[in-house]
This record gives sequence, structure tokens and C-alpha cells, in this order.
Amino acid sequence: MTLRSSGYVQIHYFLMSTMLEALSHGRCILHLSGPISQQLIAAHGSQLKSLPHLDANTGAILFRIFIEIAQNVLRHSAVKFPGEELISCGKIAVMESHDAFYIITENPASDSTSRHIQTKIDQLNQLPKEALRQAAREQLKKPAVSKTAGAGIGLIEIARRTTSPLLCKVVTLPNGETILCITATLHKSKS
Amino acid sequence: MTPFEIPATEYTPHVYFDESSHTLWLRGEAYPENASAYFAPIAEWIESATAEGGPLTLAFALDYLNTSSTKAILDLIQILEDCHQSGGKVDVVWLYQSSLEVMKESGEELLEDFSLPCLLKPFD
Repeated sequence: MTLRSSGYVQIHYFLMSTMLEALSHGRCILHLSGPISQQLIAAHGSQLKSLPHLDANTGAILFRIFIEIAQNVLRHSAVKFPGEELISCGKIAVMESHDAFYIITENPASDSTSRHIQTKIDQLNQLPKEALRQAAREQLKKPAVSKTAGAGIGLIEIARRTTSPLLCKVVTLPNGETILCITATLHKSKS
Repeated sequence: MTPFEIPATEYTPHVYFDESSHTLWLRGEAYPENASAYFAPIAEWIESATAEGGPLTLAFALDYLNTSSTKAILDLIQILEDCHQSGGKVDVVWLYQSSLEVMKESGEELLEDFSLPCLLKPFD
């Protein structure tokens, strides 16, 4: 899928369903939309570690989830911008309610990648935290997999650190393009 | 041992060899987009430095590391483990901010399968 052929880049806001869901979570404290790069992720993500009303450890966990999920968008978005640096099309928002943070992403993805990630998330959501720890341990010992295989240890780490099951939706746009939507939740009192 | 230094960026650590203490330090953030490419020259330097059996300390004072960096750092520690198994004088130090329980846990999980001397230590 090329940048020019993607209808997704013409949409400046989240899909309506994701937008309504996001707004129901409270205020937006971070929002990236369009070209996503490593530099952009680092520049905006660092503020999450030092939110004034958050203890250092919870801030570090929020940052950890944000980086893993943002780098997932960077790696797995089906729409890449031309150039030497890896720049991908996607949307990332961090919402805050009185008791939790919600890290929400959307990116164009191939149908097979979307279904693979959705299946992986369904499996991870069934596992208790100790089983996720063991899964991470086993994954770390395996030889590196190709980037396209994806959905490996990064998703396990996100599932380990979140405090509610990961939400995953795969939406097909009218032009046939597939959008992968993921929401990760971190409760302030449980982290 | 040859001098070695990689300056820090917003998402990669300051890596430098302190000759006086025979310590290779990694300080700061560690979440490059392509961890295997980033850590390759560090692994190469450690291979060379341990070829003579040490002494060498690999010391970490990281604020955060992503999962692909965790995998790459395990490979660095494995080089030292192999040297240790051959009688080399090597060890690992993992420093973590005392307020960051999650970084203590990362250190414990990284080091749990190795037999070389390891030290986990908080700092303020």
C-alpha cells in the first residue's frame, strides 16, 4: 500500500468509533497523527514519565506501554513515508480519566497482519500475569524474528503492564483499506 | 583494551569504557527502533575485550529499555557469561533508580539465568 493510494492519510481524526471511545475516557494528554517517527515518539513520550500528579514508577510503566505500542505502529503500519528514516502513518493518543490512562492507536495494516495481531491479543488476554512473565522469558530466548512476523515480545510486554485486557478492533474502510485499532489501559491504583 | 564511546541520544544510552575501572557503562535510555543494529558494535567491542579474559565489568544505569533492547542486552551478557565459564574475570552491575521498581524487576529478569557475578543496586 502506498502513501498516495491510502485513503487513511486523508482522515485527520480517529475513526468515529475510536474517537467516541477515546472522548469517553477523559482528557487527551498526548495526540500524534499522520507521520510517526522514532524522533516524534521520543520527543512526545518523555513527558509521560514526569506527569506532576503521578508517582515515578507509574510514570515509568505508562512510558513503557506508550513506547512499545508506538513502536508497534512504527513497525507494522502498512503505509510508510518515503526516505531513509522509518516514518509510518498512524495515530496515537493518550487519554486520562480520574483513575486510569488509555493508550489508543490506529494504523493501516494488511489484513493478515491485523488478524494475526488480533488473534495474539485474544490469546494474551486469557493469560494471568505470571504466565505473561513466562511467555516474555521464553520469547526473549528465541532467535530474533523478522520484523514482518511481529507481534511478539512487544505485545506481551504491553499485556504484562496493562491493568485491563487489551482491546483490539480491525476495521475495513469503504475503500477496502484495513485499520488496526488497539487500546491499552493502565489504572493508576493498580500499577 | 581499546577506547570505546557512543554519545547518548534521546532514545539511546551513553556508552563508554572507563579504563581506570575496566568498566563499560551504558547510561540513559535504550529504545532504538532497530536494537540489533544499534547494539551490534557494542557486542563486537565486548567480544574483543573479553577475548583476553578480562577483567571487564558491564555496568547499566538505564532509565528505560524496550523489549528489543532487552533481547540485545541479553546477548551482551551472554558474551560475558561465556567468558566467565572459561575462567575470565568479568561481572555485571545493574543500577536502578530506587523509585523505579519496574527497572529493578527488569534487572532481576535479565540476570536470573546467568551464573557470572552480578550486582543489582539502587541509587537515588
